[in-house]
Amino acid sequence: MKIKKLLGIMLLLCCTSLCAKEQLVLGVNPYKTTPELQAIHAELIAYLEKALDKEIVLVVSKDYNQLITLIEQGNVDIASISPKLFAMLRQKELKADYLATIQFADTQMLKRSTYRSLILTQKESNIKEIADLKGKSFGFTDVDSTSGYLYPRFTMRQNGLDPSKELGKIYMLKKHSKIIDALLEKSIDAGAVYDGIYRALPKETQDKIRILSTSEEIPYDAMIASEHLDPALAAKLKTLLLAFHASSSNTQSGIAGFEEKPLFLYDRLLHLE
Amino acid sequence: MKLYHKILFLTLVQLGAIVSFGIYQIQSLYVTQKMAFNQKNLIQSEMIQKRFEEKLEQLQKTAQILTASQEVVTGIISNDTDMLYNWSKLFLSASTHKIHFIDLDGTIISRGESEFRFGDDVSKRFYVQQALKNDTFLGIDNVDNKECLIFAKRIKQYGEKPIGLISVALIIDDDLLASLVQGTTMNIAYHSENQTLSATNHEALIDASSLHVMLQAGSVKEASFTIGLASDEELQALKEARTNFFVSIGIALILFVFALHFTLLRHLREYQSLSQVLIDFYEDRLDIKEVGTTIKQTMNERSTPEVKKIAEALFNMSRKVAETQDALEHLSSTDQLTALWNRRKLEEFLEQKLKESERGSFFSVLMIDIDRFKTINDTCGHEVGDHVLEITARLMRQSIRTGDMLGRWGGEEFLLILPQTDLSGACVIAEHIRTNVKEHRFEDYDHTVTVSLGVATYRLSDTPNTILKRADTALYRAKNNGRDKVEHED
Repeated sequence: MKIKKLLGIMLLLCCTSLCAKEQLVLGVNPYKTTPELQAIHAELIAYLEKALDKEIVLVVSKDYNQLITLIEQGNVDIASISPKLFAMLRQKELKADYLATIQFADTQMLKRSTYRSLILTQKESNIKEIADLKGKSFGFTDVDSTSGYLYPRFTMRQNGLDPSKELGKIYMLKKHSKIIDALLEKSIDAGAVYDGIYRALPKETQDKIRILSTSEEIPYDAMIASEHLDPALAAKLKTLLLAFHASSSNTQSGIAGFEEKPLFLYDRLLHLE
Repeated sequence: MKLYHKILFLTLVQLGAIVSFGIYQIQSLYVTQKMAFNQKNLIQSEMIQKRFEEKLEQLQKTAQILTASQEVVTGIISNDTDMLYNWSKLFLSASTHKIHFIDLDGTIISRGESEFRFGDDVSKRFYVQQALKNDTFLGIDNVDNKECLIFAKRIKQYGEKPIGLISVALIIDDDLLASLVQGTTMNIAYHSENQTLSATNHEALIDASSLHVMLQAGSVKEASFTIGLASDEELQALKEARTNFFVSIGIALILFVFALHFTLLRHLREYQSLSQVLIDFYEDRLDIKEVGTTIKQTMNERSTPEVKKIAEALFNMSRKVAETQDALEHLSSTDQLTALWNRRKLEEFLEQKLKESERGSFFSVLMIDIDRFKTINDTCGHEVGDHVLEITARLMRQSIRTGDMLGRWGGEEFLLILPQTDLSGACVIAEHIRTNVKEHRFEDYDHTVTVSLGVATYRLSDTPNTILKRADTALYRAKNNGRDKVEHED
């Protein structure tokens, strides 16, 4: 009787495990609020769930650095990771497979896989060039942000300003949109954002803002697969991502598509520090 | 002392005692209520005081929790506005309106209540300077142009190295004051050089006192909290109730005295009327019959039952006395055997008639004697004699007029006074009597009884003796002339 009962339970467990959908965890950097990030990734998640017949769980890391830890520990299967973080991962020789680079659509609905870092100030401000930032308060997003920290500091150094010593008060505001709001509130004299945020602003707001500098092209976030993920599944994911095209209604608000970029574009970011 | 005064005095003394006791009781009640009222206010004041202290404690506790967070410390070191904002917004509440993180230069890194406002210099603020100097500040100061209760604390890394400040503030406004006095009858007012606020619309505080709070003096001058009664309606109502009671008692007392006065007067007047009747009787102003009549007149429908009863008793008593008096008078005026007037009464009548005759009236008298009555007594016995006397008297009575006065003068002798009758008229009546008696047949006496009669009429300056003497003389003559005769004076 006992053996029969045991066999019955085992059979039930097998059935349950077979019926349950497998999960894939997708990690992203907190460059926007969680609801915004969920909206950006919504169509992609639906696409992948359908194609793979797996449940995709979106996880927003607490900060940029935490995502690396999550990848290292195998807590996420695939991740949309900032260019700088990806370069750091490559430098650490972490075994994470590059799948593709994210494309976003610009205001003309053109898909772009690169963006630029902008240093902004208020148009009414007396800051006309980078050198004028000396002693002025400045808003960065996060120390691990490419467009919100790395490139602006690189640009400042290129213009003869040591951001570590010659800037005034420095504030970390995490979100690019918050840099714009703080700037308009005059809480900071200048700040750094990626160009997508600026382009999304209404015209009248754009008119209040002066762009002090524009960086060279930076590849958008890289989609990578954890080394713990089945290579066959990783390969299938790469094919699926490159084949993904957002519907016309979601092109502006979410991920527009994916493109394979040369990896040196990421590696060179390490030399900006 | 008169009965009226006695009753009034005694009643007023008793009433005064009761009223005094009542007043004492009300005053005691008032004092007790006032004490309870004061006690309640004291408890309320303490409660408000405690609420205020809790507000201050809440500020300190919030600052304590936030500065204990390692992330907050890291956030201040790295000027991580976003992280500090995310932490501080979690602690904003009705008791904590503003949370600011400030660096050691006095620049705001983050405002919990305003995400995008930071970077401004508050180093000149009194509370910032005090907190940087003394480690903490608890007091009233201006924060973003609002007068606030503020707790500022220096934040230290590893408990040693100062890295910045936290300021937790509660705006002093009507809502704060209202929350402090909520559910009480108290009011709290805040006064500073810039503004005056009050929890309720009542501007004036009753029994106001300062809130005992240990606050450091900030840059806001003359800032103070005052608590007091929002309204003294409750106390006024208590006082009014006491006054109303006293006034009511006073009015009731006056009305009672008047009512007592008039009631006493009314009742005593009736008693007095009754006693006056008795006095009049005693002092011969009224006879016993008039007493009865007067008492009957005195009684009326409005008289009280007691007075009616006394009056009725007096009335019955006077009637009884009158009857007894009549009976006695009758007894003293009549002859028992013949039921005719006796000699005493006849003499009174005679005196009276003589007096009346002096004013022009006149009368005649008949002296009547039964002939040989001694022989009847001797031969037939006294019983027959008495029978003859009784019947003869009846016969004579039947023979006279209503106003004539017939009485037994003594033995077998009778006297008849005939008012307004002259000699001839008297002779006619005498003859009539003589005939009636002679013709009567007695049951117990077989013989004829005759009477002799002497008639006299009034003469000027007659006395009882003179007129009786003349009648007697005439009678004597009738006897001498053979008896059974009527003789008159010459």
